[in-house]
Amino acid sequence: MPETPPSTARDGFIDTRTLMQIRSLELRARIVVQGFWNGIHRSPYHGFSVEFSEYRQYVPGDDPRYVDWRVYARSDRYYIKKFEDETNLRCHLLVDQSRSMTFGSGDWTKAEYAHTLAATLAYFLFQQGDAVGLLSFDEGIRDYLPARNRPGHLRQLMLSLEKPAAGRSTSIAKPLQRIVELVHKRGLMVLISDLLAPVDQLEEKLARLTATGHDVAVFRILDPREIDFDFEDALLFHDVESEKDLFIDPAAAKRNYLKRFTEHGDAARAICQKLGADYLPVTLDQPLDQVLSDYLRQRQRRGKNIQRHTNP
Amino acid sequence: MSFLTPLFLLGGLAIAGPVIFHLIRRNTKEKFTFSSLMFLKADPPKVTRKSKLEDILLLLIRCALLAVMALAFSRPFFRSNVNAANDPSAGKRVVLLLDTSASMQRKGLWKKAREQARDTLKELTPADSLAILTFDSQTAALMRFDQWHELAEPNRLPAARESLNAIKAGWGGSHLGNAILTAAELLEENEHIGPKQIVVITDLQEGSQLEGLQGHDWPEGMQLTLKAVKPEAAGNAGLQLKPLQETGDAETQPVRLTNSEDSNNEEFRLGWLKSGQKNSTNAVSVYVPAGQSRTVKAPRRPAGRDWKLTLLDDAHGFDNTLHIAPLTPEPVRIHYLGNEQPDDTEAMRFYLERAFSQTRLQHVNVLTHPANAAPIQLTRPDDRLLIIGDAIKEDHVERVRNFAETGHSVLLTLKSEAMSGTLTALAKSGPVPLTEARVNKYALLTHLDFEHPLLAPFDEPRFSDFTKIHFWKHRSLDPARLPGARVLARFDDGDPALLDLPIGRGHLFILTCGWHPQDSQLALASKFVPLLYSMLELGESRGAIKANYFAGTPINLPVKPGQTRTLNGPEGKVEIPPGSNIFHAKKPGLYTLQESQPVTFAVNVSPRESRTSPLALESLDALNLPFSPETGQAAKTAQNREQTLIDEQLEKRQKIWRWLIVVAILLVLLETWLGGWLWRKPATVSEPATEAT
Repeated sequence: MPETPPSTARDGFIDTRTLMQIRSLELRARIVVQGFWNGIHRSPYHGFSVEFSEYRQYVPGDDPRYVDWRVYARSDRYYIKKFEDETNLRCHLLVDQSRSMTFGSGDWTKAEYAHTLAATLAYFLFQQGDAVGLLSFDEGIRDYLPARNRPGHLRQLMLSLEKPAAGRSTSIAKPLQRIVELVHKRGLMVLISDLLAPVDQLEEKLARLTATGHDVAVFRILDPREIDFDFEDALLFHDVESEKDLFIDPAAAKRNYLKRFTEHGDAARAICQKLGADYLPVTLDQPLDQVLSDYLRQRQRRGKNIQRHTNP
Repeated sequence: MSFLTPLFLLGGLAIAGPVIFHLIRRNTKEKFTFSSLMFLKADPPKVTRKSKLEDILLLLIRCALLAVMALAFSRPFFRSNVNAANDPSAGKRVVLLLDTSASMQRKGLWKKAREQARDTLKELTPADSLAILTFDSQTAALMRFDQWHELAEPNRLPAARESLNAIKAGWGGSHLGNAILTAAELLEENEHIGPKQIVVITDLQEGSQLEGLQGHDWPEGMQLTLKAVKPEAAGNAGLQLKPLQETGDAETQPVRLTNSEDSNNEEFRLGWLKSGQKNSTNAVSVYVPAGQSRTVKAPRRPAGRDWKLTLLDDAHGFDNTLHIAPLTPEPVRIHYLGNEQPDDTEAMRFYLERAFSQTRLQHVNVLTHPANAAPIQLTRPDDRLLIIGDAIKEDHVERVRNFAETGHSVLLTLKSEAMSGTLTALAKSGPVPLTEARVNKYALLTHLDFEHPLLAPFDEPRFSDFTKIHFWKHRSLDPARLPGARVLARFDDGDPALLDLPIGRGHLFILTCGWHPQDSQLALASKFVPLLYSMLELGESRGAIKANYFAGTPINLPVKPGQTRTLNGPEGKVEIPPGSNIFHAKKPGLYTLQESQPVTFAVNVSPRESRTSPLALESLDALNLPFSPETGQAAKTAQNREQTLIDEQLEKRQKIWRWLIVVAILLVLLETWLGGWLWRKPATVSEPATEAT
């Protein structure tokens, strides 16, 4: 870990340009997480471990293993003893590896940014003692690392994230479907993608995730040019995914593009809101720590299950 | 508008190039890789009005440039400028070349030639122009183009026919090559649009000379039509005079008898005939197979002047007679100025008088005059060489110099130191001191200048050895004191031995020793006589007449300024005007130039004329002459070619392509400027365009 943090941008955030010049993904993540070491998350689980949480009256169907027989002896009532789960959070990072992520008008691509973001999150959570898993996808599943909190797991995760984006198209539905099948325990699902795919299936799959109790956050990574479409001259636009060429005069097409783009973004946001998922549009020039703090602030504001339970 | 090379107009298709390039340029201008086109519709950009206009202007300039280039290369011209029917220059220019050489005298030939000529005249249209040339060894104009045009149109053809009727075959040799070249030059004289034609009417005999035709640059559009006429009877034998040998029987003249390849006769008789006689009594028979020749000795000439050596039993008689002039040796007078006794074997005179022998061709007479006697006359044409052996009186000097100036050789032998005065006077230089050289035993000749005409005959290894001649004594002089003198030989002690001082057209040779035994071995050496003859030859002969000439060739007569001379010959008396010395003998026969000493010479038919077998077609083909085609298809091609030639001439005159190229260059400049301007100012052009949308 460097002695002094890299040059910070305005508002005290880390300059993204400086950050992205660091080659090691792990180091980048470490720098971003530095100063963020505040345990904010709480596990949605009340596991059974050393740290006592609360007592609850036994209801039929509870596992009789967890009945506190001492309390029964004292009070002749069945109480279930609840403990804080040792593994606080099971987080799955769903990272889009499709080719559209290779676009970037600046010095870094959306994929690089997404990887850094994913690494930051992973590092941040890992340091908290949370289990972090990874599922990278394009039109199919590319890599899957189940959520763990073992020494060396973070390293493996970083290596997996460092693989270049090589997929062709983006299909969000398939990885969401797959993750639903793979992960049964509730946890945090962080989808990092540009969502440049039809949103019609997004709702259904996200709904399944939330329905299974997962906490869902969607980071939408976008290039400023994708948002502004600030091209002047007529250009031959080449689609990296479909390899199609279109000759476009931006002056004429801009309005239409912006309209459709905004509609698409709004639809995605609406779906997330509807399902109670966090929706965070991120542009490549945004400092990562800002993104992270924005996210955490948003979670706090929404006052979901993450509020810390005070010990009795 | 017509085009000379219309195929180049296809180059105009290249206009498609810029159009395509303009399109391609749009598509390939910039390719931008974008993340997704899902929000974009295939919407071809609307080009704003302003940029469209500018691009189109550039495109138009480029297209115009290509079109102009294609037009220039197709070489356009306006055919309407020339009205072929009214413009007399558009007609054909024809040169009729008529062979009048001796071989045309063969039976039936001339009649046929005349018919062919008339046929050629009939083919002419009123627009055509005609020149008639006759040729033997010389080419002469019977009617020129300007004469033709001077005549009123109805009179032209009759005048041409009349002039044709007036001529007949002569006696000259035939130089077909020269004649065709002259005709071609005549056609080339003025820039003429339209076909040009040379019609040659000839017997096309083997002896026609074709020199000069190979590789000649013929005028554009010229066509050569050969109309060969054939005699009624094939074969011919001819006589040719062989040079007499210097020694031998003067009365038996060697002659060469040639029989042509197509001859049927092999047996001939050779004898002397007088004019009017038909048969010879002393004829000898000669056997010459066809295509071969024999050199035979003519029978002894009978006494009398009018005899002609005649070949009998030949089909064509034009070349069967040889006129032989009686042999007269050339008189030569050599003057020696010296005070020596004729029989003094120790003196130079003794050896000089014996150096020249009398031959059949030259009668050399050595005349000795005392050096101190009155000045001698040196004005006769046979005075050829003057040798000075002793110091001469001053009044001699001017005459000697005059003699040299008129192109003769003078030899001054510096026999003693006393000759210094004579040398100084003759050379007209400052005093040239002479000293007796100190010779160690003997001196030899070295450093001979074989490039000088005097010594040139010795310039061969077997003749160039002068080391056998020993010189006991010689005089030494400084050649620098004789301005203009050239040292031809030196002694081995470095002193000049022989010098040449040019005086006027002649030479003063200075020998720094004598050839008498007291001075040297020169008189006894084998080089002595050739050296004297060489000196004699260097002097100009005053137009000595050869014994034998050919009809039609110019004869150089001896120059006699300011005197009218008469020449008697078969054509009668001919006056030779003063100053003129060229005579064209048209007829064979004996000619006598009336002078103080009448000179007779013979003129015969050129032996080339005897070679009457038809000329091999291969030799004509090899010359690559622009023959006019004969067949229908070829004639049509020729007609097309004629039209093409007319077009070419018109195009050359109008030169529209030059202007088109100028326009093209201007377009290139405009395009460069406009393109540069557009390139340099893309922002000012595109910004308002963006705003417009």
